[in-house]
Amino acid sequence: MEKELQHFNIEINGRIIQARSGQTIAATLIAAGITTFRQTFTHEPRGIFCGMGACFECLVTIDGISDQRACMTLAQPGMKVILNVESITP
Amino acid sequence: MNTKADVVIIGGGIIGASCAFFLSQKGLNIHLVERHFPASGTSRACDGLVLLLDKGPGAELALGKMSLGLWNQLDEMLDADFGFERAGTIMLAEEDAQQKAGQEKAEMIKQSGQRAELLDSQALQGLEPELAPDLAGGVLFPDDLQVDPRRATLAMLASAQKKGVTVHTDSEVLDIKREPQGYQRICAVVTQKAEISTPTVICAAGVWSKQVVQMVGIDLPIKPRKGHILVAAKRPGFIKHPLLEGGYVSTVQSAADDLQVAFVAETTRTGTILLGSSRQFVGDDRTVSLNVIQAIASRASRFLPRLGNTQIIRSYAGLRPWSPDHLPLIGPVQSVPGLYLATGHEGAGIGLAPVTGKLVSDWITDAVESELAAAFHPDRFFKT
Amino acid sequence: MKTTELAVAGAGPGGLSGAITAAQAGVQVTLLDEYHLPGGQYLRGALQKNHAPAISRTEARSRKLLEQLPSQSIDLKTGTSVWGIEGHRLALHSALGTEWLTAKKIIIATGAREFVTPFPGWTLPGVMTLGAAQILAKEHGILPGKRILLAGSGPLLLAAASVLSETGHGATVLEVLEATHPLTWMNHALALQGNLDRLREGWHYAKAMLRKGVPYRFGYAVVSAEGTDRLTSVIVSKIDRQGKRIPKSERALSVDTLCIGFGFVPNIELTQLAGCAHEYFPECGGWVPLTDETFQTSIPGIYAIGETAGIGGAYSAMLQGQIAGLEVALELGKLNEEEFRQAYLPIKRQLGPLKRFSVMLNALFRPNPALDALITEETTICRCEQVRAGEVRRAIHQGAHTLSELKNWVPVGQGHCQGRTCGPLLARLISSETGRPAREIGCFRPRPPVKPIPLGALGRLPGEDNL
Repeated sequence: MEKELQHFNIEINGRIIQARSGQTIAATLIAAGITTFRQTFTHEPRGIFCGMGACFECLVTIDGISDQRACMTLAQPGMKVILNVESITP
Repeated sequence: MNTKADVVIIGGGIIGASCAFFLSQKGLNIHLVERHFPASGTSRACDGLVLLLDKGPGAELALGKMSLGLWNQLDEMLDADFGFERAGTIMLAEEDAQQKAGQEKAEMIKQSGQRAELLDSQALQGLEPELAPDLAGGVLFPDDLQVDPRRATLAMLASAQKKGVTVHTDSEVLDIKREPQGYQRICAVVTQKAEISTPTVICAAGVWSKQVVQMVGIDLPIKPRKGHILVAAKRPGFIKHPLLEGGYVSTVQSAADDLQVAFVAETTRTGTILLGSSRQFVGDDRTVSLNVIQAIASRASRFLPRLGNTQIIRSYAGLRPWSPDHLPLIGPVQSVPGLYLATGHEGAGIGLAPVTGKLVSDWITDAVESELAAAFHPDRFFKT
Repeated sequence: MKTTELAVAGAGPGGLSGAITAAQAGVQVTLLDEYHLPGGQYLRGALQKNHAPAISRTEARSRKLLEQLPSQSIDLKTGTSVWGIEGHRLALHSALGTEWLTAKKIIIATGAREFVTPFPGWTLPGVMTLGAAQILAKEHGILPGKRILLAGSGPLLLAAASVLSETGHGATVLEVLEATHPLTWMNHALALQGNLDRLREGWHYAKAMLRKGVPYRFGYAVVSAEGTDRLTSVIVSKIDRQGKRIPKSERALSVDTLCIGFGFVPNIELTQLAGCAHEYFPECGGWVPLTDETFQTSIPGIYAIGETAGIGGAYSAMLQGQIAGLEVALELGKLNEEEFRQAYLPIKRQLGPLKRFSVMLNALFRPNPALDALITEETTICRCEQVRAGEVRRAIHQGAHTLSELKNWVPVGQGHCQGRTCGPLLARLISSETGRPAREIGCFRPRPPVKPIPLGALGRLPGEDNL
């Protein structure tokens, strides 16, 4: 029996975003139109680059643990994700 | 290539660079030979703390204090940013016995003219809120310093080069020649690229000094003492001062073979946190040991529990040159005229680099045996 | 401490093949992968494809491995990274924490990562590798933006362009810009012999492009990416067959997504950490571990296969995995010499033409050093620590001629990615500034953890009594 696609909510900087089972945090963010995941210590905006866990650009804080790769982490119901940005675009 | 020098310095780490810097002020023709590239050995694997708390009373403490003063001067003299910070350090006490030992240490430091402030548990938490709350207290040493060892090495070397010092890289010393007659004074240093005629050689090759001075028949009792450092991802301001656990000093003084781990933490200029420390005698192996980094991580977690979720992004290991009385060897070797040693700094090489360079350059140009220098005279190991 | 007979690091086509071959011979196997699903990069989205037919023999065969996996009594540990190796002891990390795994034999099949030559603006959100876009489309069914440009060089450019064009949903793939000129391909026609399957794959992708009418242009490079908070436009230029910009041929394109890639770099961190001997072979994609005819490295009992051992494609990786798996089974006494030889020889025979093809691809589509002329003083080279090309060049001119020495001058290779992105770029810069060959410049020496792990988890790794 095929696994049904689950839809659930996660939080991005306090904002509720819909996610799907089997999607990474990165895919969830991009599907929601969010392409800037963090700012570097010199305030440069960064998003995903390699998409496969090698470049460590897509670092976000997940449930209190910092520097997690969004492209390697599955979205789970109720996850609280913090992007190190001044404001989320869009 | 054949060339001449008044002095050849062997070793391009922080000690060699310091010797070059101080000698370059004396108007001599100085050549430095480095087998790989500057700061490629131990100087690249250190933390950057300039401490007094790890020095024994008397000559060692005086040496440390003089070096501290020289680092402060170097901040003015060197035309480069080498990560100099008046960071201060805090030595921690886990329980009352350590707090008492800390008190004695504080007294010793104060008597030497540097500041030391006792902290009870509450004061400690106030200064460093991320520390585990069950510590008995600590001692703040506000005059301790922090530098970036690699940048400091390169800055001293650059300054020396501007004053005419010639630096040879990728130049391993293959032979040290001596005059055939008379006192058999040193007369040349041979590398794979050059032969440099010189009457004076300073061996500042750290753990590799042993191989170097073997070339002139000296059996140097230096042993490599391996240390590890972990690097945690940027958390600027997580700790406000470099931190060391009270037991750090006894691991430094110990001559035991087995692994000694003592908590040390230091924030670098970029905000990463260096975590140490470890000491072992395992020959000259520089590979990072998984058991050791686990032990360092475990000890660090004990003192900084909320650092547990921060990523460890790097590690490295280095070899400290250890001497049997744990004091450096600075000065001439009587049995080999022309040979000076500037080595054996186990765990204090960064801090003691300026005073070592100054003492050696004074030895060479003034040939004066200062009171301070007597305690570090190499011949204490070689006198027959 | 957990023990196993064979630990396979990496569950892509190569690792899967090695694990299953060994398991079928009766070896106890633990298969590890950092991602939460097996399949590696090649099989991303394979589960989502359901019953869509495979486009090539390679895809069919690798999907079959995935299907076989559950029935093989292999201990599959996904979401588990191998961050350290000491002798035959692996240090692992997963959501459950850190642990040891001791293995009699180890196959390292950690694949490769994409290579991108830098240009101004390449760090902007919206600029990503071809693989990143391909993963989003294949595995998650989403497109990274609305106005998409693809650029770079090689087979992945074609594959990614095809996948993105077909994924639709209100987004447009505007153009595909390949850096090489087709005339240069003619020199390598001989390598096509025996590689019909690769051509089959290529033709499938080309057909998709033709169907969608997406312009596929040759002899182009992206000169710069523009935007403040994210990508909003690019400047592209025609380049000649030497890779040099043709004057006055620039044009601007309004895009929100640029997918760019120039081939692959083998992931050799574990083989380096294990102490294996490595050599620099440009035809393999750069630094690779030295391996013998059964893919054993210079360390007995440690094998390296697939892209880790040289960029050669998924089919080759599967064959190599089979050979290593058979060798491990032989060494552990599960097969006799005769059984081994009978299985090994037909597989070995297939490797030759595949190798010729990948050598040809790696030469043909290698990122042209002339593209480094796009790098300005301000272009970021080390993305993690924001070190710019100007600072790196100054350090090189002050004498830093190896990657190791460069770290004393500029904080390169010391961030989260541990030099994975900037390492190959720095080597190219040193080479172009000094004329030194890559072999002398070296690469970053990894220390554990070769993937970052939390301090607390590292501290909780079970200690050892004897040291």
